[in-house]
Amino acid sequence: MNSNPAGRPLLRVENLRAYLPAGQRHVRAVDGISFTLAEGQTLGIVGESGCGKSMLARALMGLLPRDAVVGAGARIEFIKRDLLRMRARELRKITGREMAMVFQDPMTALNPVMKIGRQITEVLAHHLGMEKQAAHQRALALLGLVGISMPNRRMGQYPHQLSGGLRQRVAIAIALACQPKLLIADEPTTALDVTVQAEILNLLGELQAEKEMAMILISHNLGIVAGRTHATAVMYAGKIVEQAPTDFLFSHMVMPYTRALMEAIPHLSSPPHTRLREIGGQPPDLIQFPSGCSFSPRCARVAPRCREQAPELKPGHHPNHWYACWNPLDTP
Amino acid sequence: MRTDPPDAQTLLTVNRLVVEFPLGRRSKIHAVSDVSLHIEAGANLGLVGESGCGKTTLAKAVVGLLRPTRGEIRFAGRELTANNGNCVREAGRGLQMIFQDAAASLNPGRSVGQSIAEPLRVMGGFSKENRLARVRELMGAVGLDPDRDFCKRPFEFSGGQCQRVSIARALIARPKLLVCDEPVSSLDVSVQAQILNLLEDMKVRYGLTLFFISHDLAVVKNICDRVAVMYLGKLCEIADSGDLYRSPRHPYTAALLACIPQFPPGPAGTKAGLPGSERPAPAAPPAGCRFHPRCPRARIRCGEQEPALTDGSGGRMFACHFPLD
Amino acid sequence: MPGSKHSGGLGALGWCSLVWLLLVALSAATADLWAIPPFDRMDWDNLSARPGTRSSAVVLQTGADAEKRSYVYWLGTDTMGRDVVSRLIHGARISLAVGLLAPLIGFIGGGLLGCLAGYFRGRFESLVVAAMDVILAFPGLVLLLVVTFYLGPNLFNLIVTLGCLTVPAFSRVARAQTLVLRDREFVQAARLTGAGHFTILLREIIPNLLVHMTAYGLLAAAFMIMAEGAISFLGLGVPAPTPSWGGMIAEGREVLDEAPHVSMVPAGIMFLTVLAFNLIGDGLRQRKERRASQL
Repeated sequence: MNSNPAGRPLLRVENLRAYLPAGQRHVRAVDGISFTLAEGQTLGIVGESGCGKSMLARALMGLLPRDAVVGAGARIEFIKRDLLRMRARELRKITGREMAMVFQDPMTALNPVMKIGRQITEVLAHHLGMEKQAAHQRALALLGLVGISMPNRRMGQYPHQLSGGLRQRVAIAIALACQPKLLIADEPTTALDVTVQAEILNLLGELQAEKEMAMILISHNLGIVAGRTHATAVMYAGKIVEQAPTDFLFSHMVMPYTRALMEAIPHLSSPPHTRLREIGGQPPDLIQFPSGCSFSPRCARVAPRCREQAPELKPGHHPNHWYACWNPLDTP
Repeated sequence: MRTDPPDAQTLLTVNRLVVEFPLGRRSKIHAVSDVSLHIEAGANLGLVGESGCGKTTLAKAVVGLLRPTRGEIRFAGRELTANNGNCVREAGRGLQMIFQDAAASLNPGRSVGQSIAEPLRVMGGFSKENRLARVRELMGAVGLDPDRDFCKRPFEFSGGQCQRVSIARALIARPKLLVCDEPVSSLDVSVQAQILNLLEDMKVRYGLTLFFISHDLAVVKNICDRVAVMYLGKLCEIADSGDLYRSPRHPYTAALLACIPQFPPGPAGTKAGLPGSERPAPAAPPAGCRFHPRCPRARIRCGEQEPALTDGSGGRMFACHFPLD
Repeated sequence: MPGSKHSGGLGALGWCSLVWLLLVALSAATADLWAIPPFDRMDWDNLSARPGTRSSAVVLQTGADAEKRSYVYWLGTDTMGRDVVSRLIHGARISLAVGLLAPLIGFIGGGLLGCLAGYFRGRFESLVVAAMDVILAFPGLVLLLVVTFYLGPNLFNLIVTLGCLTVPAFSRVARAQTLVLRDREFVQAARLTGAGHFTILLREIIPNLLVHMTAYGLLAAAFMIMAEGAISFLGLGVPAPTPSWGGMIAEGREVLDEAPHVSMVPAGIMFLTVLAFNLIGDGLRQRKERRASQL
């Protein structure tokens, strides 16, 4: 499912399953995800809360809760190495250095009692073994790279002295400190103001182009991934339900959930009091899965087969378009 | 500057409202500075702004949860003196509010049915049967099952359902104006649509007017007839929704519109954003126009003299020395 | 514990503790009905007798005054030949009275003051906080000495004095929790229903305070029992011959090497009771936290 065949494959995820214990049963947080990411490519992952996208990000970075169970047939191959079968010590050499992550809430992602400068230099010292002076210079350079003015002054400040947007920039600087090949951004702008959102997303785009870094951009907002990603995958109840190159997805979506997601959002161009197209029902219960397609209880196009058998991902009209639906939109 | 003279239809008038919080001994947070607006019956007003602009403070001052430092609030002609912080009583319960975190706005130890009935109980004058009947009516109206859901506690519901309970409770005393403080901001997109449609239905069914506060301009524009834009405690622009979108006059409004993620994606992906430093803190607002440090059109006059709200055409108002046209 | 989510929520240890406390309370209540010697009856033939000693000539509470029966001292006798079991059961009355009533004074008095201080804030709050700090700083033992000296050493004085000393702690717990609650959205929503301060306090704030306060109250009860023990040990508690667990421990001091049971048995019972209070208090707190995290 490579949307950018020219680039070399960087990350390959196969059949990833992650279950979390909940009392006597399990929550199927990630339920069989497979995708490939090439160098320099951006993949957008879109879904609502509870669809498993954050768990997916954590699984990639080895940050799953301790009691999480990963399915036996799962593979996460990063530059030909299987992350799931590595020892913890070796994994730690990769995460933070070649793979980095930016989280949603910068306030909790930064250590509140440590100065900004030290948080950056600490990463440099730990992963790259840099000396104090060299690390300090590099930290200054990083702050400049992410567009923070007066970096000298900022180095000595604490997180609570900065605004949300600035904190997120610092978090990005920390993530980029070791020149990672892959950056995972988990809802990086959700907690920020709209005007700051655009700036942070632009910044990520620029940095990515400059460093030829691959990026996974996770969001619940379709609009954020539009125009900023090569390919987009839509997740629901732990599975990818549709995936395609981004432009193609927006013009040729076939999975009813994707279309419903698009139509539920109010558009600026529509007149006031336009009735929004709702998606009826509640978000899926990840413990008691209905048999068949997880979206069937809420789908407007539900057919008998949908309730009995869960659909597999099938190729669509474009070589890199995949969807999982028995009754897609382009059939009558 | 006063807004339009009071209309027989005017539900709420806010006149030169100032809300300031002391910060230590020397400085103050200027949360709301000299804001005037009015809401007419049947015409939803939206209030848009980013974090720290003072919109939530304004909302709380209007319903009486906060005491304003200066200024006047009139509801249906009567002035609300916020005596004992209880504008609601004085407004004859014509005024109600729903919150962003619906689950937190419900007493965790009480069943939702009891929570919905609570306003009637406090008000008095309702027999137990009447109360129950009303509760059931409202629960059905907001899409809950009166039989199954009455005795449940808030933690058994999802965010969207809690918001439905909260709406039912707010509407049970038949208010005329419902202040909505970011009611859908923490909800998923699919549930957001449900709640927004529900609010529209309630508006029609119970003859409500909404004062809708949010940071999401697209949502506000959809549900409101008029929209006001706030920045750092001051109003930048007020206009009809359609006009605001088609031809914003204040640069901040234009920036907000440009920054909204759009899809199908805008031309070459929107590369909008506000240049310059971050938003300054409300404790030390800049001199002159509060937006001028970040404004792409700022000139010297903007840093010296604060622009007043001036009338534009078609009932719109804006506060800018060099507006867009 | 996977089971405790849906059961009473106290867990196995919590239920055991509850059972123990009920046992102690029941025994104390029915002390006069047991077939045991009176607590002040001295058996000169069996001074500091080992647990399990049999005696053939013992007068029981239930029997006629001079009727002597065969009896086994299950837990032995103390230095004056008094039955340990009997003194334990009668002593439980004192310990439980102090352990439950003294914190009750703190619960009601301190809880009310703290709640009002946290809700209304301003000058009233400053006044209350200052007053509480003064009481906290006051040496409790000195107060007890003074009270005992001038007003006489009896159970009532003891309970009231100890109770007053627990007021600051309860007021702190109440105030802290009230400060959190008053800014929560559901309290604001209650204000929007037009409810006055009194209604809000009664219906919104106080019910949500009770669980916190009860959890703390049980820990305070445990502490009070130990405090009573220490005070009786020092001779400041209820005077002889009324038994109390602390007094019993004190009396066994002299014979610790020959007859350790005289001190150790009441110490053990006190330990178990204090532990029981602690476990229940903990269990309640965990249950509340579990509930709160579901919000």
